[in-house]
Amino acid sequence: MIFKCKNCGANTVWSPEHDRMCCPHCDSLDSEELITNEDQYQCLSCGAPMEPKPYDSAIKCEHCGAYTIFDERISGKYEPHLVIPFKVSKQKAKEIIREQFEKKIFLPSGFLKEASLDKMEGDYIPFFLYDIHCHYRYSARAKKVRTWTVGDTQYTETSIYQIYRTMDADFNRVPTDASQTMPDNEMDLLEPFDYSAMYPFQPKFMSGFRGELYSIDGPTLEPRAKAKVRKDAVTLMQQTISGYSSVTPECDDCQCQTQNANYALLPVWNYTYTYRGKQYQFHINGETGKMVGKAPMSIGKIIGCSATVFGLITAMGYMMQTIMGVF
Amino acid sequence: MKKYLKHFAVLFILFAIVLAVFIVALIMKKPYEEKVYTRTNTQCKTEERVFDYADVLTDAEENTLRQMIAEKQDEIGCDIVLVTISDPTYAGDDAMVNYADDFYDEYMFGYDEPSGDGALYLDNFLGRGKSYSWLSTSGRVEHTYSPDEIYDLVDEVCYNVDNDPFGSYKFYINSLAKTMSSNSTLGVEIPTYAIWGVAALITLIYILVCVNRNVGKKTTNANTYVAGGHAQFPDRRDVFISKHTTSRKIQTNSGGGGGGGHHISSGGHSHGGGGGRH
Repeated sequence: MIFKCKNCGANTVWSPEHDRMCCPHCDSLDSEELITNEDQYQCLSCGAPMEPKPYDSAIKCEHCGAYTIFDERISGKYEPHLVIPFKVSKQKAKEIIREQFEKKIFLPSGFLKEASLDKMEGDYIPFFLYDIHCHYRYSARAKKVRTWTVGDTQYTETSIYQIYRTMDADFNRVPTDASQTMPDNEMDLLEPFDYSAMYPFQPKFMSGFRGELYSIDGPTLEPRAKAKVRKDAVTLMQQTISGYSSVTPECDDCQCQTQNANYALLPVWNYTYTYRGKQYQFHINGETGKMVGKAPMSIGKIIGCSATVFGLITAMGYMMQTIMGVF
Repeated sequence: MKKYLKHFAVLFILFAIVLAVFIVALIMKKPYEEKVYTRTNTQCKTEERVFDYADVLTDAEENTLRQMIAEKQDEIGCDIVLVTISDPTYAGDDAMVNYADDFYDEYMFGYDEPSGDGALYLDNFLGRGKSYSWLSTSGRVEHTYSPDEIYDLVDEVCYNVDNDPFGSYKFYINSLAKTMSSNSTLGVEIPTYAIWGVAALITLIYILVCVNRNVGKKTTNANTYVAGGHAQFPDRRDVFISKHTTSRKIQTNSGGGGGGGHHISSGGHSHGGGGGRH
């Protein structure tokens, strides 16, 4: 399927700036018209053949730049329940990268060039959002130790306590990325997403962006979601235990029960920069603008800057040595 | 290039300031190596500086030491005196202090004035490898040397004085002259190795700070996905079980040690010094 402008026939896309559909050709707003075709793998705008990768649900035509959404990849078991539309535009995403890296002196010169940043792509990444109930039983033997001195005698008082805790918590919409191509730890760092801007899925939000369907199903991902919940539950439990010199757990039973799982598409800007044959990936939360990534470093710049620091400090040292000798 | 200049702006400004002070320093004053002292104490009762009463030096060695002292004295503007004795009467720190200070005062040593700038090194050889050493300091030398520095110098000199008194006393003269040369300035000498070491350390810290390439920290917490923002605790009890107290005797150690420092000699003059038996 493709969204076309009723006024000019160009491909209308979701505009984060306007928070609605927009025609980049004639600037019309909400002028979209849904066009479908039986031959899904042909561009509905220019007729060129399209070759999506196995998990692509929406791609850009290499010939005309129009975005086609593949019906069969967003329907049936692949139909997302929820979606957060892009709120950060491409221009804003570029500014975020520039702000983050403009002071990084070891960065290769081409990293922040407009031509490089222009290759950035907005992707809808598949996530499963789990509702998990956690029931946590904990007991431990704890000690409080107090020491004081009278004259030449040191006294140590040891108090023993028995700790009992039971915790119940509902963890709602714990996100777990269902994409094999996205690194889990970096997707985790993009959190949190603001769920108040989440909508029931509508294909129009995908127009103008690349889409991906899940490559790991919900049951397979469930243990990872439970592990995230268990880690948070342990932290919450430990926060209630303080003031003891030592704590020896006797019962540590954390039961996590999945109540519900929703398949959702969450917006992420991806920037890939290749330096000396190695790819560096940067991800920007398409809703909040939070950025995650590891920057490349130019060896030449490291040597040059380090030599500058070393040279200036050494020269200042020698001058100080002479100054001290003069006065 | 603009980014490079902006990045190092603070360092360049600092460099410019140091450079400016450096140029001013060169214009205003001559380096200390060229500093010339003129003897102003005309009341000193002797030209002699080496008093080898214990006879541990040969005549030739004494003459060599005299020549060294004569050269160094004018370089640093301080009298350098060496005294060796072999007298059990002065076996003891207090006796050594009095002997050294009185010797210095009686001969009116001091480059600038009687009992002024200078140092006297006294060795009392008691045989069987036993001896007492003391370094008496006055004037600028007294103010330059800390007690620890005096002990360090005495330790170095007396380390091999029984086997090689000549070498040990040469070390005393050279070490004193070196210290007083550098301290004839602001009192701070920056060793060359320290310059390179500090520069290397700062560069290393700079690289480590700038090399931090990771962007993006965890901004969720344990409560982020918990409904209502916090977990429920239907059971939350800390039950006291028992208490016991133990005691132990604290072992105390008593100890002490000697120390050097400033004092007034019987002649009423201020001296510093340090030393001991070895």
